[in-house]
Amino acid sequence: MALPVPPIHFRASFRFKLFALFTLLTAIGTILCISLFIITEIRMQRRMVVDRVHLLATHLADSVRLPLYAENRDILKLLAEDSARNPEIHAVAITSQDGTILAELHKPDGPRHEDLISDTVEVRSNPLTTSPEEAITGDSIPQSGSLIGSVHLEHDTIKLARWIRQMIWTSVLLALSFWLTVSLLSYLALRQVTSSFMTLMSGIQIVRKGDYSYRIAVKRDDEPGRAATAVNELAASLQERERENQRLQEELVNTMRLEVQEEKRQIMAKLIQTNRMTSLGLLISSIAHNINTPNGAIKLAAQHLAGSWRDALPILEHVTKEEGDFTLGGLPFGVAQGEIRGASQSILNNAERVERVIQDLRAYNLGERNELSPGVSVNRVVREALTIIRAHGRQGEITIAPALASDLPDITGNQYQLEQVVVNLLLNAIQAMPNNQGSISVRTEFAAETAEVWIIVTDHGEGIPPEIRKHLFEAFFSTRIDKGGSGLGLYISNFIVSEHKGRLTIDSEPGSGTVVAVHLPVAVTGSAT
Amino acid sequence: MRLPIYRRGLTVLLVCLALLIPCLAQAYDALILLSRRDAGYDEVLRGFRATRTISQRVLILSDYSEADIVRIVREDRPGVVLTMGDKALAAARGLRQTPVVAVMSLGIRERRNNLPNLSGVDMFAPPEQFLRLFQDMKKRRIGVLYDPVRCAWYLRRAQQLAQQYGVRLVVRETPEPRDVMGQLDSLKGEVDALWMLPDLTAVTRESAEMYFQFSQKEQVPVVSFAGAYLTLGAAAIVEINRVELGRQAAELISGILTDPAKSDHSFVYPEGTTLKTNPNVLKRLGIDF
Repeated sequence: MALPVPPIHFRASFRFKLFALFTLLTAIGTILCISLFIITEIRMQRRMVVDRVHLLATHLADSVRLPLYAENRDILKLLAEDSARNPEIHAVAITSQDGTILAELHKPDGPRHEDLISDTVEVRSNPLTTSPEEAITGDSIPQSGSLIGSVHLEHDTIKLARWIRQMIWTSVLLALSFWLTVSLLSYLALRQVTSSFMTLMSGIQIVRKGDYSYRIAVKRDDEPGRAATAVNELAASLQERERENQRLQEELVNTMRLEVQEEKRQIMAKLIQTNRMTSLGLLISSIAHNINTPNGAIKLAAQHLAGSWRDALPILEHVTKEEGDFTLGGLPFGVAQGEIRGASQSILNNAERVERVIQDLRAYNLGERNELSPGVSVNRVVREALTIIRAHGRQGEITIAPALASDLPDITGNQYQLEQVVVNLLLNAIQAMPNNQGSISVRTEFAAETAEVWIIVTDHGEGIPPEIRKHLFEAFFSTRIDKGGSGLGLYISNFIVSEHKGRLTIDSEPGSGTVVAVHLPVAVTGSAT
Repeated sequence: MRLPIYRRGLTVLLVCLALLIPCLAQAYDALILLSRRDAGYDEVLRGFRATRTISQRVLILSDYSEADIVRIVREDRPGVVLTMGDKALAAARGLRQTPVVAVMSLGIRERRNNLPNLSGVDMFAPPEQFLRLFQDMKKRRIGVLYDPVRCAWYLRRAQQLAQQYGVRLVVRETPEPRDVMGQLDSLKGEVDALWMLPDLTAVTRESAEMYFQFSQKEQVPVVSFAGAYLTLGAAAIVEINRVELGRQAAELISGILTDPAKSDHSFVYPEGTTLKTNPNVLKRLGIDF
């Protein structure tokens, strides 16, 4: 998926930044150089003017040395006027050694005092000349010359100021021209230098937008050229990766579609099973109602029959004593006496059992609460379950061998629920037996160390694969949905055992059979819901 | 009466001692005062020592902040005092008894009034030599600036001799150094050459340049008295030979020491002089000399 590409403003472009940086540095450098040049030029020109003034003053001092010594004011005035002919000389003053001004000249309407450059030069005798005393000894003493007077010149700076203004303008114009020229040349050079880079960037932008098929044109073997080659290789790799992703995505979609279909099918099967269970519940309710009525009549009849038999038995015993044994129902009275009593009792018991089954079915169907009660014999639970299995008639040629511990303590629980657990386990074991043959053992044990009663159902059937084993306690999970399995057997069994604070463990190896153990505590606190 | 031998010996000893006492007091003949350490004075001293052996003590005044010459002379009692330079001569102004001989001084004659026992050698070469030089240079009108106080005696002698050499001295008095320029201006077109005298008023460090400026402007040669001016633009000089000057001073002192009474305390011209020219200046001025 391509990332959103922000629009590139020209200010953010590499070329613009380089150009801006270069022009800025050039401008700074130009300004610095031109400023230094102007400052230096101004200083130099000012120094030149000062030197010029000094030179003029020195020249004048040299000229006036002799007339100044002679204090010839006429000649001094002439010399001062001669110096003042220079338009830049504003004032001339020639002063004797004692401070007397011998010649002075001021031009009217001169510049301000601060605009003047003035210089005063001492007038001294020629140091090369010697006095007669020194001359006659021939060893003249070096001297700088004796002070005769001084010359003072004032030089205006109007011309200098004009020159400085012109120089500044010229320098600024030259600097501006230089800067513009350098900037233009730098732009052209940058454009040339960064063209490959810009090509690279535009290519990267296109690739970034997701067009991995685009290839950047490599014009030169420079860094951008090598980078373009690398980007092209990267784009090719991304293109290949994208193709692979697309293929995998398609495969994933197809797989998911199949899985969804399979899941949908399983869900539909579960829904159908649920619907069937619902219908079964309704059917059970209907059956329970229809069975309860005749069962109640049977029970009532059995009770009447037992009562009647109890009432008739002394009579019949008396008859037997008096008349001897007689046949009743094809059996001697002595035998028939027990059979009838047992039959009536069996009728009553089974009627009650039917009643409880119906009651349990209704209770399970309605989700009613079943109470736990103490004194439940686990062996009895197993025996009753075996009875139901045998009555069910599904065990075929499978041998079920019970091994019930004799010293098993009673537990607190619901016998019918536990019977249902054992029935479920036995049914699963039967279904696991290949060709409906083999043997199943069911045994009970008491684990004193944990105070538990164990019901262990062992078969030597197909075993349970590991991938199925982890789903065994899930509701509606069954490997025999198509064979009428509800997927609720182990789910309900585990629920019942857990309601008894016990554990249901399954140990199975594919091909070796399965061992299912129910661990029930001897003492159970609380009640199951 | 004949004295014993030991008493005669004692008498002889006492006489000898009496004769030696003056000799001990007068330890040297001449006290030589130098104004300063100077090569020119050394040359004079060399000439002085070359001609005759005169015991001497040399005192360089510039080595002392204040030297009491009178006290030294009173203590040392030299036969004569030789001064070199105007400062040395001025330092000897308090001497009244001891003869003073001055050389290398330009103001000897002005000091004469204060030092009656002063004699010496002038620093003015004999005017004949200059006049002969002008004659040889074919210069007739010779401009001379001088201070009447200092050099009137020399100008009088020169004026007396000028006619013999066919030259005319155009003299201008310069009682002040500042008058030099004006007086030189007054000589424009009036002279064919300038004669620069060793006059401390007419020639100063400041005004010396005016002579040579005048020379350049007026195209007239300057004849001076010292080699230092030859390099500044003088066409020729008549320079005093300082070694000869020392020898001359030695002779003068020898005469005084020999017979102090006969000392006339006079001044003499220097005998040894040398003529030097500046060929470039002469060539520029067109003087075939």
